[in-house]
Amino acid sequence: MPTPETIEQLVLGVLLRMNEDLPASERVAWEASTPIVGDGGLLDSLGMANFLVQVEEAVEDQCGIDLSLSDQDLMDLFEESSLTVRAFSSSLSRKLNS
Amino acid sequence: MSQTTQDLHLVSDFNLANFANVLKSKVGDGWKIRLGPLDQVVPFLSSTEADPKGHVWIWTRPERISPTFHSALQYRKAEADKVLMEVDHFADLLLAAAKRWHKLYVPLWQIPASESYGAGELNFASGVHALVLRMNARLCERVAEVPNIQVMLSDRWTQQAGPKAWSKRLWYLTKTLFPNEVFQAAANDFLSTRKLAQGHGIKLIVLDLDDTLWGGIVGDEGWQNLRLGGHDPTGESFVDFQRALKGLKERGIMLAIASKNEESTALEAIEKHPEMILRRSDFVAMRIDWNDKAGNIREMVKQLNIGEGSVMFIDDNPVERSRVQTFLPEVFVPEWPANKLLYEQELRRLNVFDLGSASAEDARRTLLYKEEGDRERSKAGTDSVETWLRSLDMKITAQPVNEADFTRVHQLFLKTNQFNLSTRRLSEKELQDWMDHADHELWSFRVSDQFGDAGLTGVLGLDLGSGPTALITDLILSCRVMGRRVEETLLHVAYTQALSRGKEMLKAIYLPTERNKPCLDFLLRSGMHTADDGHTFTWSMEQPYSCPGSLELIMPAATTKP
Repeated sequence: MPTPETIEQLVLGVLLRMNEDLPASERVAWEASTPIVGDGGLLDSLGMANFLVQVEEAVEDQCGIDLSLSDQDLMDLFEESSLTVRAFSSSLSRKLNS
Repeated sequence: MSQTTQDLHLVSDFNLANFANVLKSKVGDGWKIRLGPLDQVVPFLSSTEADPKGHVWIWTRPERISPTFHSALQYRKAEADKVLMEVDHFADLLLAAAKRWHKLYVPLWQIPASESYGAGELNFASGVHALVLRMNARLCERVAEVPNIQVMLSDRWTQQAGPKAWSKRLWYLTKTLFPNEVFQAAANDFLSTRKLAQGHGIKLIVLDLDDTLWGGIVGDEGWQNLRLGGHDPTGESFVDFQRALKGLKERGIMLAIASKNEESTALEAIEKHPEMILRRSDFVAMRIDWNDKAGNIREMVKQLNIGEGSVMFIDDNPVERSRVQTFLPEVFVPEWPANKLLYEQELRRLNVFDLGSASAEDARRTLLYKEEGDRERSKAGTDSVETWLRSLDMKITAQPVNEADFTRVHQLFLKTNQFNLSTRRLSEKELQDWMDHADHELWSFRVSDQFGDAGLTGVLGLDLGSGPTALITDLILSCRVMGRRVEETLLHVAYTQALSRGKEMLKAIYLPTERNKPCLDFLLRSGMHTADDGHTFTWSMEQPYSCPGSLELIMPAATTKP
């Protein structure tokens, strides 16, 4: 099973790839502590949907696990006040290892 | 010329927000991307909203355009005629919208090739995949004659994106039909289309020889042992590559050689090898020696009088490619595959050739430039430019632009960069409308001499509206005939037309671009009065503007518009 560090790298990789499709002025210097959604979150609703789809695909490609991030338990995370890259990655790691 | 922003409206029945972002990341400040409301295609096309300078990207799903086709997707029976009637209705809307907008871009319809509709899916009468083919064919037929509707080959984008080109995840979460890989490819096609429309396509391909045009090193192996044709996969691929190049040449793209070789050895191979498709006469210029290729290419570009940005260099050797790219940064140097079997495929993949509306002049381009070479060589044998010009026995035929000339004249409007007074990139319709105005005159100029016929190479636009001043709106000259007093002849015709309308003054306003300084240089030495701004030039009608004595001008006697 993938380690939490592997998952964090995978998530950061997805976010950095998403940057490539954005105008230069809208690109984000993503780090583990950068909030994704919630207070100071940098993804809008479309960006979040893109992010979820790409994480699903990356997990499938790199870890061979069929994942559905539209499951309610994970979607609930996005209702938290602020969700950073690291917090999201930890959650995802727990889900994948459960 | 100041940079003006153009609008690109995105209109679709699925979510194009990601496409808008991809476009914004690629197109730069010259474009404003405007994302329309979702699934409002028909209301948008039916509305009276208009912008003669605006561009519109209309991306639809076949099932939204044809309810009958939608039934077919639900495994119900569909009548092909009814589907095509619905396509006709959509085409009618496009045709009407094309009159209100500068340009429409319409990707062809697709459904995933992986979707299966049973054994009859290619049944010509009502199979689902057959229906999509017929819908696309009908759409293409209906809009083929409309120059400002550009049908886009969307298959290429989904093929490039591979098996993940259709994302059900994105569809159900965001109503986005495609992932960004497809949008990237579509945006690249849009940029290529715009580049070509602005006359920035490749006009000259400079080729290396050894392991580029044939397999092997001719100097080491001899022409008899080159890998070219025969029962050999590599030899066969080189022949196909040459065939593709020959086809491009016949569509007006010039070919040249820059090769480090003994010239006599290389030419022997070109002339004698029985499987060579390209022969010596197919090349407009050659530099086969041991000199630096970048320097050789620069010389050929100068000789042919074209911009470096119109040149592509193909060489199997990455060191040579790197050197040329470093020293000639405007030259397009594509990465070239190491696998020789992929050369032809790579050439076809490059979307840099404007093959849409080849004119008679395009097809003759290599011959025209060869004649120019003969002309330049004759210059070396004379003691002054005037003597040389007289020896050319030049004839210039000037006439108001007619239907037969129109395509070439429009091409010159779009493609001429160096000698272009105002660089007005008008659509065909805009040019026709401008020409139809009672006070406007548009003249074409054909140039010939003892070496050959350069064809239609000059355009003069005049606004002879009310007031004492005649305005030269367009002064356009192909680089093929620059410096041969054709420039002065254009001004002479402008003078005679202004005189016939009783004008007191002839005026030209130069609009600078990055590349049209040759036009300014001419105006500064033309004898016209230069205003303080350095860009406005006038000529008083009290003094005739004479036709150069070194040439014969043929023009109709009575030339005022009714």
